[in-house]
Amino acid sequence: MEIVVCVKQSYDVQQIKFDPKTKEPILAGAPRKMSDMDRRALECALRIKENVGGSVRTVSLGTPETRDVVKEIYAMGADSAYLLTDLSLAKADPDITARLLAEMIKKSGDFNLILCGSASTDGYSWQVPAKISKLLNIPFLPNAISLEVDDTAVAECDLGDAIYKLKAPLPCVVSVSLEINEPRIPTLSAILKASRKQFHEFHIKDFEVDLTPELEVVSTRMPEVSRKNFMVDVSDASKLDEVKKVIDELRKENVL
Amino acid sequence: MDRILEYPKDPIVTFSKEEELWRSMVREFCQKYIEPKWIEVDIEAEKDPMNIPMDLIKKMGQQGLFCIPCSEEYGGQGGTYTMATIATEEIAYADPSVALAVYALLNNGWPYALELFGSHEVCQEILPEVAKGSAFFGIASTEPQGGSDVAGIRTKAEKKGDVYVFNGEKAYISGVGEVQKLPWGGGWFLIARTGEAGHKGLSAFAFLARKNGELKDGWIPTLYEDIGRHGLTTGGFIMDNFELESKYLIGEEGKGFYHVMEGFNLARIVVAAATVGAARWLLEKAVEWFRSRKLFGRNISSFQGVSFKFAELYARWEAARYFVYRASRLADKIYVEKDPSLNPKDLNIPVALAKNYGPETCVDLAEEVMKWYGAYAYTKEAPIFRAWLGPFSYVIGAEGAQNIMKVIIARDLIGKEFIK
Repeated sequence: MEIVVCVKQSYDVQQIKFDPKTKEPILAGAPRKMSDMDRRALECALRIKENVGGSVRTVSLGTPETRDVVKEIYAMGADSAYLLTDLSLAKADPDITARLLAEMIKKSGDFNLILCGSASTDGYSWQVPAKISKLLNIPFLPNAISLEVDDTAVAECDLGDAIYKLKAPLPCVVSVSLEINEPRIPTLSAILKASRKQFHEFHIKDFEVDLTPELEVVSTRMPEVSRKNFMVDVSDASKLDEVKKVIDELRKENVL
Repeated sequence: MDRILEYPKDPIVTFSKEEELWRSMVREFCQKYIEPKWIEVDIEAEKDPMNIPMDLIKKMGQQGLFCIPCSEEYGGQGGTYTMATIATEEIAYADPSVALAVYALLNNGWPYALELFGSHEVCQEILPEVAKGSAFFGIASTEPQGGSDVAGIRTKAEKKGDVYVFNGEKAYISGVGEVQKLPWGGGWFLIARTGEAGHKGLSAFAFLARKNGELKDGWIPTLYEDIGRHGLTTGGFIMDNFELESKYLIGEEGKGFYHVMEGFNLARIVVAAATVGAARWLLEKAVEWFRSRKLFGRNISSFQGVSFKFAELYARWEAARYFVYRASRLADKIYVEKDPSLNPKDLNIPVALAKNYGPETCVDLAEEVMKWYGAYAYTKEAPIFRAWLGPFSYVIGAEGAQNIMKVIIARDLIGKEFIK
């Protein structure tokens, strides 16, 4: 079984600070990590390989900092890692990302199964896996919470309204959710061995892909949740009727 | 997890990408498995010291948190001493009572000392079991008459044919319960007298009280009830004609004092790292409290009596952390890189500074945090006291008393002959 996993080096959004004036994230020097769902996709691939044999390779693209994710990819147990890094990819939209990943998947060798996280920890567009399947013209099983693979892929997919059991012939693309597994935590010995392994590097000129973004990001800002600050004065016993106002207000908000 | 404290950027205490990844992996492991259970471990083992957290020890072994600097041929991780230091700091951050951090630091420092001075055959037998969390390997030096006077050790090991026969008593020894309960067993880097009075008559042994699940005759243990850091047992044992094959002698006869002193230097680095990790937890608990607790209509940290003390203790914490990593980097240069320009004695002052400063800072910080929390901190519902009583054992002693650290610093700086 030749498995390809798409892995993104995301910003660690829980550690990102925001400029208090502009409300924009401060990305210079912000910590990064392997995208949470991609890590589960890699875990899923490694488990399939452990069961049925084969190989696991990863494809990643982004700015040059993306190289840092390779150590973790190898430490977890992938056989090979393919990278495409370029400063121009900082603003790659889901279309460009999917087009380049699809080309990288094809150029890196044969494949039976492509695994992706359903969405990245930072961009969270949920679009890339579906676009890859369309570009490669193979079936897509979205948001899997379980996956079994032999001659076909059978996944339980959480599509929001219900969990569907879907089956697809190989090769296909499966995107996985956070619930699918608990990824392994590499040991130090694995990390040290990983740091000695080389990765395969593509260059943007290797691909004849249109890099014109179709999506324009207008702004990225810290979500603001304003509080209602509903005040009721019950400072003495004569004002206890005011409590009713609290109940009415909670009813209005469908809390009660 | 949101960051509570944004620590300053630091170009001095820096880490490689491998070390950063290792720290993040240890932190993930600890936050997943240790942090949710550390209070329960402390409570259960206070009821009975033999309530040892066997499941966590096993998991930590599987994750490769023991024998980090030991060779892979002995089941170790083939890492550096700094990597063991990083792991210890993170384990203590997740368990600030430091029980699991101390289990880990003992089973990194002393197995490494065994590998440095012991035979291949003995390392091959013991270290893989320690690495996977199936055996314990700590230090047994202290005796009932005292711990600091290592040269005055009374336990005798007499060579009779192919065995050494031990008679004597060891006291305040970590791991007496673990050796009895872990699947394989284990023992200690034990110092005993094989010759003349004084330090030249001492030898070191890989003293196995239990191996392959079988207790050996002539080893009579007892367990103590500690006031904190429950989950790691402390006890003593009598050796009554206890026989140990001579292959378990570490290095040469009569060189035990020198070997154990080097082992102490290594172990003290990770002891200090544990207190630095626990102190980081305390700092963050303090800041959480400052941001929510209001008195007289103001956050309590708006009172300079509180915030100035916090600033002073934060400065001490940064200094302690620097001492720890300066010492671990130096240990790497001496033992891992084998830098010929350095000598094991070069570790004396850097290590003594770390061991002296880390525990003192942690305990002083714990006391202040308890005062800032007020009466709530004096209830068992608030966990702060556990991060006070646990690290306190390292202010009293453990891998060397605080005054001994001062003796080392003064002796090496002023000159041995001027401090007698």
